Amino acid sequence: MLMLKFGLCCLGMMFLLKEWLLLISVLTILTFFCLTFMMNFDLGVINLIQLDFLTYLLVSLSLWVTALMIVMSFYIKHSKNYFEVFTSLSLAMLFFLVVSFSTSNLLMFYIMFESTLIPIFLMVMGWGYQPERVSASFYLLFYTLTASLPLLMGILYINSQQFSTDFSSLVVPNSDYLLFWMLIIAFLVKLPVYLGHLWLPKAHVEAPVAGSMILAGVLLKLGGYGLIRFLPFVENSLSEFSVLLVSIGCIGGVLASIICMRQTDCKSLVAYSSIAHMALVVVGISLNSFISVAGAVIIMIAHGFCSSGLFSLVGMIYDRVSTRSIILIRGIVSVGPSMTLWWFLFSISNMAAPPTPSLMGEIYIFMSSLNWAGVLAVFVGTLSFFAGAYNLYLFVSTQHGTNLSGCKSFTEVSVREHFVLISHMLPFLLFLVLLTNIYS
Amino acid sequence: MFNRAVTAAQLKPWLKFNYILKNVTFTVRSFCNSCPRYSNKDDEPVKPSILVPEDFQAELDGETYCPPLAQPIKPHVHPIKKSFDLLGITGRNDPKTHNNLYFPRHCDILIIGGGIMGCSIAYWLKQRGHDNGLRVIVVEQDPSYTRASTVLSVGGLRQQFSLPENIEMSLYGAEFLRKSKKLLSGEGLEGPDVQFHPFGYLFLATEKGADQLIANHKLQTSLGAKIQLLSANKLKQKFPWINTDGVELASLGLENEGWFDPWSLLNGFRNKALEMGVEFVKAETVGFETQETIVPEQPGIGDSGCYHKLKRVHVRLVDGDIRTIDFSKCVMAAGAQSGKVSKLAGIGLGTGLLRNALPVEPRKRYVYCFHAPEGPGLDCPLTVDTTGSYFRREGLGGHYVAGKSPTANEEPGVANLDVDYTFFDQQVWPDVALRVPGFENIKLKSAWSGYYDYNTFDQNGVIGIHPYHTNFLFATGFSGHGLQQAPAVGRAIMELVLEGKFLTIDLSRFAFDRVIANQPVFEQNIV
Repeated sequence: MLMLKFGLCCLGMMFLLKEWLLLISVLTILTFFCLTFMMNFDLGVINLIQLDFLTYLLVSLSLWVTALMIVMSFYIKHSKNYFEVFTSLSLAMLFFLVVSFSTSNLLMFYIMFESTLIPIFLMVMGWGYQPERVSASFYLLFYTLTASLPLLMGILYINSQQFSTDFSSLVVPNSDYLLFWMLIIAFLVKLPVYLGHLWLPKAHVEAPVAGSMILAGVLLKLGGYGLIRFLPFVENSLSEFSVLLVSIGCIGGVLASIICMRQTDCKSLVAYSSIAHMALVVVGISLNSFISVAGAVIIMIAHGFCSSGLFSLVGMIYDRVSTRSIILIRGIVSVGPSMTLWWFLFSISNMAAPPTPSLMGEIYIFMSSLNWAGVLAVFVGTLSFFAGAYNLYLFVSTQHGTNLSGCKSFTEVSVREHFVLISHMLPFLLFLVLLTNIYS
Repeated sequence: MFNRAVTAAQLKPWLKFNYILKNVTFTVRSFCNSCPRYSNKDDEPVKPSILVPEDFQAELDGETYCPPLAQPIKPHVHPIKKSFDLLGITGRNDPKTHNNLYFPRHCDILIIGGGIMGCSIAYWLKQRGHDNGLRVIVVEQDPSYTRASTVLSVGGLRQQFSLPENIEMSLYGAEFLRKSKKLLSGEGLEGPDVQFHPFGYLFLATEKGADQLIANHKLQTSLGAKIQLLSANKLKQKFPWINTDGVELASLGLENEGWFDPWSLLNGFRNKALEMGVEFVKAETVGFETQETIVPEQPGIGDSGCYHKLKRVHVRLVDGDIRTIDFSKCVMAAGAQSGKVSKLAGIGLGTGLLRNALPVEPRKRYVYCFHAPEGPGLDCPLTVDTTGSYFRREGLGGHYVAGKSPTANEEPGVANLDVDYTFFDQQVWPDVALRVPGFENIKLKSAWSGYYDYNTFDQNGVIGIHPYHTNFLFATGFSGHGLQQAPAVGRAIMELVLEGKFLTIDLSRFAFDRVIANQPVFEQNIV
């Protein structure tokens, strides 16, 4: 009930489209408001949904990232490129996200899950700047739509079997393998897992900065959220297929990290790193133990902040140097050391260095996966190694080296940009404190 | 070199500009400082960098100059409407929607001019590493190259220069031509056959010019060129058809010199570039757009001000539409029109570092083709007479091409490419007929003219980054010897763009800085 009130607030904020700063302030205040409720959840409701505070986490994350993405899209406002339309699309997206994270009705969840595609499609087509964005938005739309059609059929089937479409009333069925795959495929493509990942690099490269931020920050988590919500329902079938899912996750993650090393476009590199992180999430969820699912959730939230922050950094570089090619961006430390600080912090967070929550999530996944099968040490180890490798590659390529354009053409990082970056970093580091709640 | 703690305001005025100029251009110079220096004692002392004289007074107000836009910035189309339009026209196949849908609005590197320089630079930029992801666009207004200097060129390749950089560039040009068939081939793409005729260049010198010839020869051979000095007798022995009156000394290129087909090389570069993903846009550059960046006061860099960064170019398509292309770096390789197009970017229209225009303008040169049955025959190098007239064999049927650079007061107008035959009768023919008695009986078959991208400053190429617009590079102004240097210049620009400094041949003396500092780098001509 409370969540729907939040959702309606998002729609209500449409009135604030003209007053940009007021809008952002309202969004950030709403986030804090939402966070206070996290401490008050009543765990005694049902034992099947153990991570009730997952909802609050993800709703807060979406509110926060939406606020930051509106701040980051200042260039659209400055060049008078229909900023109000853009903001209303972001707010519509926020509404769909909040409702999908908080509803307990399966069908409502599906409708909101699909509806989030429309704003992101329009953002990529309308505000992207390269001819390839047409193809990219088609990939985005059709991959997700096609994969989630079986989800709709599965939900309607559940409805017909159990006369209810409520999460809390899901009865664990006998092993129904077809139903399992029908329900799971949508989320696997949304996450994305390696075999259904082709839409992600394209969509990220062609989207405007704000579009990339919300896409990497929250939309990918919809996939993870769906998997976790359906987990108790499909437990029996999952035990049958967990080897397959863990293999796809591990090997796909390793392959995605290696592909990362070959990228020449910064945004594409960060997009492939998203795939690698989400592969760990798939592994965690498939292992179906408390620690591994907790690790998956922590990685999801940590990745939400990291990726969103990295995309905004790439966006800032693009505003200054007009290119995203790693070959042409170099020597930032000579001309813009403030930006180097942020690049460093976000690179190390992305590669799961201590004391970030990403490390905590990865440690949980390592523990549970090694407990499950020792051979996974090779894969998660390789994944972790290459995560370090490509993040260092990105950092060293862009920051070190001779700068080719001189210091006058590289503007200092403005206060607005510092605000965006600090707002990514600070909650990210404070998140560690929140994690103590996991056990309570 | 400079102390960052000292602000510019604390210096005396005559040191202030020098100090600031050093810092503003220090990035350019520091790029070029890592190459090995030429230590040739016989040549003029090579300065380590281009130093601005102490008394060079200029204000820095020029740095607030903003080039005028070709057109007012169009308001954006409503994005939702744009999305539905795109959805609607995606299925269609006609060229207009294709243009609308697929016109590139952004690139990493924009090359203005698709002649031999532009295509060479595009090739070199893309061939570095497999699929390096660089988005390169070449804007060429006439893809049929009807007036391009490249295809109208005589196509000579020689190492007989007096500047070490020119010699090295031509040596590399010869090496590249040798490997061009393989390098410029690809999947389903056959490399070009440049039809290189290795018959050499023959420079004739009178008594006055003999010393210069000897000095040049020494430099050339030290750098690896194979040039032979011939006395008048030896010359007569080797080429009996020549009349050695007034000739004291001659130098003949034995290897790596001759002439080739410029059209094949141009096509070779262009096709290979297309295969590697370079986009060629048929449009004319009509303006530039800048982005203002507010620069705060930084010690050692200068006072706070506004820096205008070149961000976008306006191009006019065939149907009159003006489109914009965002770029990160822009290379000026427009040949004879470079000076005019650079002015669109504000180079030459501001003050301070933008005060000096690119001193490149078109100059028309004639080439005449005649038939001489009693001519030298097959064994005929490209002979450059003491008077400046030159001729070479063309084909195997007794045809020869000849030409001459006119003196300053005989310069023809550049409005069109019409040929003046009286120039042949009065200037070229008497000279070549005097040198080769066999050319007294000729029949003039045809003639054509082409533009030199003539560098009025010192007739050598301008290669490098502009000191103010640090994302604007030059590769133009070669004044008639650009074709042979195209592979080397392409590689040099690639090094400058991707590494920030010259790695193979150090061309820092050819930078645009020399125009501002008024330090010309002349070729020592043979008299």
